[in-house]
Amino acid sequence: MESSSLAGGVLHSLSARKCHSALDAARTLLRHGEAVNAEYNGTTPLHIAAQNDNLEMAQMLLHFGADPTLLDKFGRTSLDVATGKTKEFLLRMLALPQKKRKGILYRIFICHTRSLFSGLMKKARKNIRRITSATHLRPTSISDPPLPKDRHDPHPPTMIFEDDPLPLEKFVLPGTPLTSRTPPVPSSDCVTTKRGGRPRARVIPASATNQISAKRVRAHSVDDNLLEMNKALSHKASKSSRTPRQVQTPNNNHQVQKVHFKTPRTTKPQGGLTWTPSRNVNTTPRALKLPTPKAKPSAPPMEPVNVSSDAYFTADDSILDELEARIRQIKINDPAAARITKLTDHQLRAQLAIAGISAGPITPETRKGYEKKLILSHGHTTVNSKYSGPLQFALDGKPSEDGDKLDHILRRELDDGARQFNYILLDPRAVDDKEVTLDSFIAAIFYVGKGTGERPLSHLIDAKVAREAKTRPGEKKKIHSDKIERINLIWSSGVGVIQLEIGKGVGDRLALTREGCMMLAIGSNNLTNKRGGEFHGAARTWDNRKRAIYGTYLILRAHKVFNADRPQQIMPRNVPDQLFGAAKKK
Amino acid sequence: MSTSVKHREFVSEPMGEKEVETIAGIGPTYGEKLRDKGFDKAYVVFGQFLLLKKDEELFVEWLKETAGITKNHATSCYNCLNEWAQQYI
Repeated sequence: MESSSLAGGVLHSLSARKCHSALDAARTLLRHGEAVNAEYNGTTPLHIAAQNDNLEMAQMLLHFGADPTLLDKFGRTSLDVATGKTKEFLLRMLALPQKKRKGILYRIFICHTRSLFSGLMKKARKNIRRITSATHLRPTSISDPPLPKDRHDPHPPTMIFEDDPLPLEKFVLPGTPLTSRTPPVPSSDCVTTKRGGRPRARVIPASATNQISAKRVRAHSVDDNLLEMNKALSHKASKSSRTPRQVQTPNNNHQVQKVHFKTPRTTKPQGGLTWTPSRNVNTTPRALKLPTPKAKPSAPPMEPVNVSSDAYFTADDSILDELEARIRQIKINDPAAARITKLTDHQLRAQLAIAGISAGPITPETRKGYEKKLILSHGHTTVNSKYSGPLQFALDGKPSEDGDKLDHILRRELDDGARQFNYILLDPRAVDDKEVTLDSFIAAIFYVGKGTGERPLSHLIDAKVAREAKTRPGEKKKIHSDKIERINLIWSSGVGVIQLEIGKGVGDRLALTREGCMMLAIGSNNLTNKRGGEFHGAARTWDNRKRAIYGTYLILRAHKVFNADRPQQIMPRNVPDQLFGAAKKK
Repeated sequence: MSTSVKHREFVSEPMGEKEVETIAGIGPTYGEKLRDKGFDKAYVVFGQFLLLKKDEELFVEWLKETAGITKNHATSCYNCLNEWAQQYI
């Protein structure tokens, strides 16, 4: 092409540089017909880009049809000289068939562009806007002189009205006299721009919007959209036997350079996962929010855009699906989560059981919730450990220091009475030393409860009743529970149960919350408690880890109390036959 | 925490063939969403509640996923069904 003479070797020098302006410039050159495989000093631009690990540039060159199999003067391909990421990329690309390559390249750009849009990179966006607006204002020496109309046009039938603004059929060009012509195609497919006014994109065919909207991010003028839409349209048209390029924007030379290529390094790869290429989503509204171009193009169009245009036609659905799958893969970037979703229902249930969660039926409806719960449970219950995470830490001598704060919060919030307390029932066989270690103290706990007055005694009375019932076989067993069995077992071995009352003089709800937290900390597997705890006030919204931290704090306190003032063991003979008054609340 | 009129009404009697909207925390909009998913009667939602073993976390999560019910509403829905369960089963 003629402009290659203008830029002999320029593309080569640009290929080595890693910056926006180099990319923009290179893109402009390529758009204007610079030969992408041009040899200069016995090497191609792709060689240089690959050698310098300039991945963005390499991708763009490939996108414009650079041939990675060409040899430089030393007989090496681009792959041979490639380094770092570019090498990896080239290896991956070359493993694919030619057609797929182009489609993927194209979609890589979309991914990058799209991810930019989807958040976190406001700053980068601003930056790009700044850069692009700068390019708007920059006069380009190449495109300044309008080209003669009779120059050679490689695509005469399809590339209509490239340079001549007069025979406009569909578009009104900014900066050209308004020609009133009826568009030959339905208005839904067309975009109009007004002179000086804000360009507006109209309805875009659904099949096209995906490709287009993804580009919008860097498309700062509607002309970009036009071009993209035209490509998409012609893509569509190629199926419906319309001439590709039937619709062509006349004024695409300048802004177009922003369309194609989004530099990957300004985006994070995982940013792309918000993009799911569903082809039927109409993203047109987004297009309307485009920033208005800051400056009008400084030059009329000069060269038809024909480079690598078939990239847009090679993409088939399988590539989209492939990409979608890949994105899904990234989405599950947490290995633990990925592992859990792969479990069978049966395995999931087993895992839940290990985590101390008793699961109901696992159906497609409930499975998601259980998966989530299991993932979360890994946060606070280390698998195979006996107690909850915070208590385990405390046992290792690293108790959390938040317990005091949590206690303060709850005390202030749940200040509604002073009659309740919590109590712990202990197996004395494990704690008969003078100075009981935390380890054995916790191991000795077999029941955590809350109550008023003589409530703790009621368990012992129940146990006593059950014990006596055993000796009289005629009477039917009224109460049977692990707790009572445990009490009886303790009594049978000739020792008494230890009952430790803690946190006296609190309200009902605080006592309930404390009970629940302690149970969580110790783990229901290690207790004979049947029902789970209740949580009130702020503790309602805590996650289980926080609750367990609080429970651990209470247990540590109980441990101190226990060592300071050892309660008496309670033997059956100490227990009254029944509980008087209102204390029994069952 | 005081309970709403809807809550008390629901809890006060067997749910029978009551519509899904009679559960506290579920208004016409959420009711419609649940209906679309096949949960047209209160007892169907209650069934799911039991299926999840009366687990608050799971049930609230499920309501969020299924009908986009906010945590607050889902919690009052949970409390409603939970109290009903405590009374009648």
